[in-house]
Amino acid sequence: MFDVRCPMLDTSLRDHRARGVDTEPFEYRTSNIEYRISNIGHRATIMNTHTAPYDPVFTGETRQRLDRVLERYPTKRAALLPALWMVQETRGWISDAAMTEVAEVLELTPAYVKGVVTFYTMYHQHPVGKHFIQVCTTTPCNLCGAEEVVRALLKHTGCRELGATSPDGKYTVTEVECLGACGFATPIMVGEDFLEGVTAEKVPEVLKRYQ
Amino acid sequence: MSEHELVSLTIEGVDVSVPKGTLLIEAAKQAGVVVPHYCYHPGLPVAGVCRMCLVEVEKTPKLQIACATPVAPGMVVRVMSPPALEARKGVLEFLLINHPLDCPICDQAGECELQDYVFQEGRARTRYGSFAKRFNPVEDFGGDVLYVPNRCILCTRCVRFMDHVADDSILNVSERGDRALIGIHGDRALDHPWAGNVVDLCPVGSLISKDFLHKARAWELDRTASVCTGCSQGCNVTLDTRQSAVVRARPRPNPDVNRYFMCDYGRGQYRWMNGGDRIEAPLLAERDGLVATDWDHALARAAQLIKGAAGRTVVLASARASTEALFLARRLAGGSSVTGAFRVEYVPGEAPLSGVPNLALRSERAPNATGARVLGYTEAFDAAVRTASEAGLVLVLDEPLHGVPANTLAGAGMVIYLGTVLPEAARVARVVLPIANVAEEDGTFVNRDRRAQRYFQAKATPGMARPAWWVLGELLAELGRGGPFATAAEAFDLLSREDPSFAGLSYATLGTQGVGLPAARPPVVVPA
Amino acid sequence: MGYPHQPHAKETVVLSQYFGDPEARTYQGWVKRGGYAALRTALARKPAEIVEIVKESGLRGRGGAGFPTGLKWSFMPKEKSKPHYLCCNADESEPGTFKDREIMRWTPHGLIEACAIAQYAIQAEVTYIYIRGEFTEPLAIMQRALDEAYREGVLGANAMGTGKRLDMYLHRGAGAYICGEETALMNSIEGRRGNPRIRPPFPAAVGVFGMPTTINNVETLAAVPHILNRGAAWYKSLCLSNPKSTGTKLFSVCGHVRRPGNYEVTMGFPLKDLLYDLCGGMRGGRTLKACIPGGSSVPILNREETESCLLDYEGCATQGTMLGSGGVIVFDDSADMVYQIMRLARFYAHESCAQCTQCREGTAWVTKILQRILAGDGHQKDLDLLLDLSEQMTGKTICVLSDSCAAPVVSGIRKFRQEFEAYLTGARRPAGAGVAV
Repeated sequence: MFDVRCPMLDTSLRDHRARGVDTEPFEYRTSNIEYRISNIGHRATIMNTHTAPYDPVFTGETRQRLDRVLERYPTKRAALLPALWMVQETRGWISDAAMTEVAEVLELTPAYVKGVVTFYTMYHQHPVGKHFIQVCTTTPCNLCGAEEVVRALLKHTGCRELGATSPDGKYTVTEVECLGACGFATPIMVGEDFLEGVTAEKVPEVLKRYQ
Repeated sequence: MSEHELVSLTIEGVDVSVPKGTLLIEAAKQAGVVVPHYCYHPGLPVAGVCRMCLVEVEKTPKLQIACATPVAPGMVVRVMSPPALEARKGVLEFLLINHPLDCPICDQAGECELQDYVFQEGRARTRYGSFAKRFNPVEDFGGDVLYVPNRCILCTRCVRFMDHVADDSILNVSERGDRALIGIHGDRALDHPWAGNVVDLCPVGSLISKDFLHKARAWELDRTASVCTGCSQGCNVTLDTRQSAVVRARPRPNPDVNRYFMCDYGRGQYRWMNGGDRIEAPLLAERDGLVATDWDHALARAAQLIKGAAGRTVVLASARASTEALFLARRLAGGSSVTGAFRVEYVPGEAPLSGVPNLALRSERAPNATGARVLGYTEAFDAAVRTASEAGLVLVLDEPLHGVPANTLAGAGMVIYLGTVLPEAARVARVVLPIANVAEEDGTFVNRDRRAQRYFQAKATPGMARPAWWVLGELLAELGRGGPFATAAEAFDLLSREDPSFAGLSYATLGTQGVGLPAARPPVVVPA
Repeated sequence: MGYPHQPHAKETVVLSQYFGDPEARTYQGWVKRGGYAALRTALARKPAEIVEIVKESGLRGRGGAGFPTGLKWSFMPKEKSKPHYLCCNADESEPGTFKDREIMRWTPHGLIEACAIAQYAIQAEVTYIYIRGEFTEPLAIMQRALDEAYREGVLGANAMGTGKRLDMYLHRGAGAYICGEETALMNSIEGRRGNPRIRPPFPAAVGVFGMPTTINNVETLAAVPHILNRGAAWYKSLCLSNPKSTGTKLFSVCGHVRRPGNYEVTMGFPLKDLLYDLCGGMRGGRTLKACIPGGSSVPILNREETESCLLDYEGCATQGTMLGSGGVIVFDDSADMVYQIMRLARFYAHESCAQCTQCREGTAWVTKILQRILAGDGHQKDLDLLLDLSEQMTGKTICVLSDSCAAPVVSGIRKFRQEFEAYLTGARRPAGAGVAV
């Protein structure tokens, strides 16, 4: 937000990523270019949860994965962050119904889970574009032209504003606070991929890989 | 024993000695100083987040929060020193920048800790300027609770109560930074049977009661110590009255009974106390039915009936009657052939407040069943009703006839009825004597743990109604068996002299917190 | 070595020796480079001896606070009555800092070895390595290395064939700067909101899951195997200035320098040499204006202070700042200090956990005032207000996030007041006018 008002601090929006919520089912797939995390990458479909009955996440293989995670901790609660990651990997975002499922599985309450989900900015509380793009614009990257990168991304993805999903449902672009790669300005994340040294000029080329 | 070890320190120039481990904020109370605070509450785990209770501790470089700092020997604490005042003024300014200052329409105004402390030590003018304040819409949390997020100061008392005391995390802190607010999940309303406590715990007008919404301003209310009538737990409560109507019941702290809490069922009890269907004058049975009269005539007729009664006397009482009235009614019925019975409603299952030992909404839904038992009443109410037809005299106390069939006492002997309302079954009475309800008299209840607790008169009696202890005292005096009593205390004194279960107790010893009856004894055997 | 650049002669390469060497990422490659020898040595000694060696080395925490590591370990109960835990803090989120990321990316087995030694020294059953959620690549590399370490018997029920049990797990964060604060990190591992806890009790008494816990930064731990291999005296001898600051330190340099990246130098190394020699000076022939030497939470230095600053805990303190995490942010004369300070304040406003009043409300308020100044709507008294709010936000909260927000604001106003004044008097055009989206 380069005009000096910043939507992030505009508290009338509980989540600046919320806008442009897509109600049509769409494909969510993480890319396997660059750095792919081994346990991410299987396909999932985001359903419009307002009409479809809730389909549990923790069944079969995912349930077994969670059971293995539970062995690492002395409490069930401790598996909450990993469990929420599993939900997001499977569904692309974490719905209220999914929070209830996680609460049941870990013997917590839905409200407790929601309190945790809303604390951590990487958990999506709403469906996002097929490619969720986060650009670091904190001071070190800002000095090196990160805001140019944001502008280029908005232009080339067709996203009207930060946090909004592009009309074709492909992209959501947001700013993010420090990605921890300040010496490789500007780092951006596309889904789970971490790209370094992105410049405004490289944006079209980057987007070609995320169609 | 380390817990009895005392630590001496100086707070605001006052020397105090407190048990080791005491927190500064509690020790300060002993020095006569209330350290301003929001998130701290003695009934909740310490959070230390509002940072309001910052005080200066000598030889400590930074200001310390009094709510999380334990006392240490020789500590010198300054609550009102310039750095401490400056820091708290800063906190108050931060709390106010997003606060709507809608006190004129806020239920909390007048009993709001934000108002109080800002008035006491806040900054006269804000420096926030023209920035927009945070806005979020009012949310209905369910149960009796509304959430007004704009007024919220994020002290998290409500969340900690639900997490650690109710052990049912229905509330959360959502989001973070200045976007944070108290949240709930759509799948679960704030429906816990003890959830109403979050309204009392909220130091500002953020969590408010729908039941009390816009009913009264805090400064119009009179507050009276009382005991909840909802069940046999005997939670200590404060009745708030406005123009002779009870408008709200709130918990009154008692570490041995209910700590700082009461259940939502108990909160709703105040409503029946305002009932408009009251008997407002003594009634005598004449040819035309029950006819209003004055107390002199009514008492004289009742005394005459009692003197002339032969054979068995049956006392049918409610477990909501005061201990004094229950005692005096038995005494009035005479020593020999008396059957005393009481009726009490049972609702299966208890609703415990898990964070407080021995605190629950009990299935025995009356405040004085234990008192009745101690005084020799039995629960064989139906059997007592059956014997009523052979009895010479039936004395009905309070409302045991509520909801019984209209012809229950049809074949009974002479019925003298002391009550607040007149159910159909009581219309057979020869004398009807109007009495005060719990909000209108002084008296005591004995809770399930045999703790005798006083309640105080909170509002005026309607019409000519009088406390049952007064009515029974007058009748006893007519019969020359004690009384009359000018106060409930005198009636209780007679009880403590006559009944060993209450030996040595008086209103002075009971105070406002109550005292356990002397050790449990075998039930009183009523001579046949 | 000056990853991603060629090593420089003035560097002292210890931790960064294998940066850029993909083979060092594998178990075999690591063993070939002398890896896991230190762990073998450690497991043959008594835990207390290892603590003593680390104490003797003078190693201090590299995460920001600079607390002596051996001393921290010695706070753990000697007589073990309940489970102990080690948490490795890999939640590197301090703007300007990206050193732990490289340690994990290039020498994952080095970190595993280091954790295993520390875990044994404090008698912990389990190590949790808490990696920030955005570090997807380090996470994948660490996971692969951990799987290898289990497979090769380094970890597990019979660690290194000694019959001792050592378990180690990764715990992925999910986007919260504050989880780098040690007590918030523990809450996050427990599945809670990342709220810092009030101390006391300290983690060594009541830590993660209520058990005695030690939390160390990645870089701190990574130094331990080298200390065991080469001796405490060697490590202690790595010192260019104050004897209280020993060893090497990775400095992440970013911003307006020609060669940003990680550089490993001996404690006490001149900041001036780091910027002008190792990093090649300013880009495009510009001149240095300001520098934040220890990550965004520490006071800003002006050019003179920067050029006389020695990079160790005491050297930075002498200049009125802190060594912090060693994230060096460099501003040249083109930088708009007011705008960049606003970005920092905005960062803290975004990351405040919302517990303490001063932090929750103050960070956002300070940001709004700075934005107002940038928009050309500031008042002269805004600077005094900012300084007063910063004072209210310093030293009064559970953790130091609000102090961290205040530090650049206060030092920025003190040292670059004329830039603020330019906005206030209208001499400078409101920022954002030309770049608004």
